[in-house]
Amino acid sequence: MKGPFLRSPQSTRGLMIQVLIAATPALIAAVVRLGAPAAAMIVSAVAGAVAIEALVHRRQLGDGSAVVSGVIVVLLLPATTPPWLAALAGATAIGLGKAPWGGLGKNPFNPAALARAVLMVVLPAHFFAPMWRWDAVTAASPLSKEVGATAPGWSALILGDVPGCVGQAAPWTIVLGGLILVVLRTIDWRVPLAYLSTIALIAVVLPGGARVAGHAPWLIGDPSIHLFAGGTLIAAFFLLTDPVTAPMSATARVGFAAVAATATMAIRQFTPYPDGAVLAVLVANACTPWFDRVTVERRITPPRAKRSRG
Amino acid sequence: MMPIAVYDAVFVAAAVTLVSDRRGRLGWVALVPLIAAAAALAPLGDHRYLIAPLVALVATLPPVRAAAPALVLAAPAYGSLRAALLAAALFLVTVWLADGLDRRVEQRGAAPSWRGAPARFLVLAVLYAALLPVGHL
Repeated sequence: MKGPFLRSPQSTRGLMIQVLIAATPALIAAVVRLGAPAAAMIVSAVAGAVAIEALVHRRQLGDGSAVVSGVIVVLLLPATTPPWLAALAGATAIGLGKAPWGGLGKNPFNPAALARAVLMVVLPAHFFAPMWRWDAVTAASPLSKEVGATAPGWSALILGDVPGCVGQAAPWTIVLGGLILVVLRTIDWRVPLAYLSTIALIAVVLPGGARVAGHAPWLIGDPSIHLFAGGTLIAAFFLLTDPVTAPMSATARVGFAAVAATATMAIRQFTPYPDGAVLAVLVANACTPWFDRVTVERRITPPRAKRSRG
Repeated sequence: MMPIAVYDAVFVAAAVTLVSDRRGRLGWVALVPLIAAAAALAPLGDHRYLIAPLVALVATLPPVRAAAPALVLAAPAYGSLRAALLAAALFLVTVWLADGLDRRVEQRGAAPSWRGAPARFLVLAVLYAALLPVGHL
């Protein structure tokens, strides 16, 4: 193997523990809010992820990355997800999102986002139910366009009084977890800042497509719903900040976050999909090799190699 | 027989392109949806049955290595030039993204049994899911 190598005082296991600590407030809020079903989902998703990791990469089991994938994927699932589907999501995150690519540190897509997207295509009935149960009330996500959702206020959005995925039980706990990660320097603060500010900017300036303008006009011009509803906060603090699937340079990471934000808003404003955050993360992940090529690789490639390549 | 959806045709064409390992005339392949859409709009009257064979003939004019994806992209019924333009752009973007990801997977050392075609198919499957909203535009 050729150098140069960079050494970090942080171990993989240490990083995973920090992410788990940051996700704990959101998990507690989900269990408090949704009760035993949420606890069953969390246990099932983690068990599914760990079981596949034990089968495929037993030596990596101790680093805790499978537990982290299981926890993050459960935050992305609808609150009505049955435990078997949560287990399948955890297993998919490792079985398709990590194992085939060579294990930890080699996957091009975020495993949790990949699992959520793949299951959404394979089992759409569980992800596109227009009405979700939330606090014993059946209602639609405020990001829904054609099911009679209404515009919630700021406090409802921040406290989580709107239907959505498990991570939406209390959005402020996701922000708290994100701030913990920023303070611990586990994640690059530029990524959530660039993602959230681009979402807010686009929400203000982008006109809604016919699907939005005709059915859910509150989605135009109001950044609060786009920032706090759906998977925006989870994507900002837990998905886009994955160091394996994000670009290497800080400048590229800002562009990467902007691409994800643009894709999120394009999906929300111009397609029938209620939330595009997870799919936008995968689109941004797919752009990562290009970002690395134009920022890092171009700088470290010797001029002679560049000439011979051309 | 149910015609293939535009979105599905784009990904089948991208899969054929990536598996063939011989990229050629991608620009020409991307032009085929526009040709098919234009042909469908042509005032042929009672001779509309000529459209499919003519488009197929035009699609296979470039070298043989580009014929397979071009024929796949000629198959769907494009409702408008906008739909054809979108399909062409989606095809080019998908192949470009999948190429970059393929190189990344090779560099990072995927399991030997997954390198090559299996990894490319998995990348395409993920892109299919991620770009699915584009199919509704």
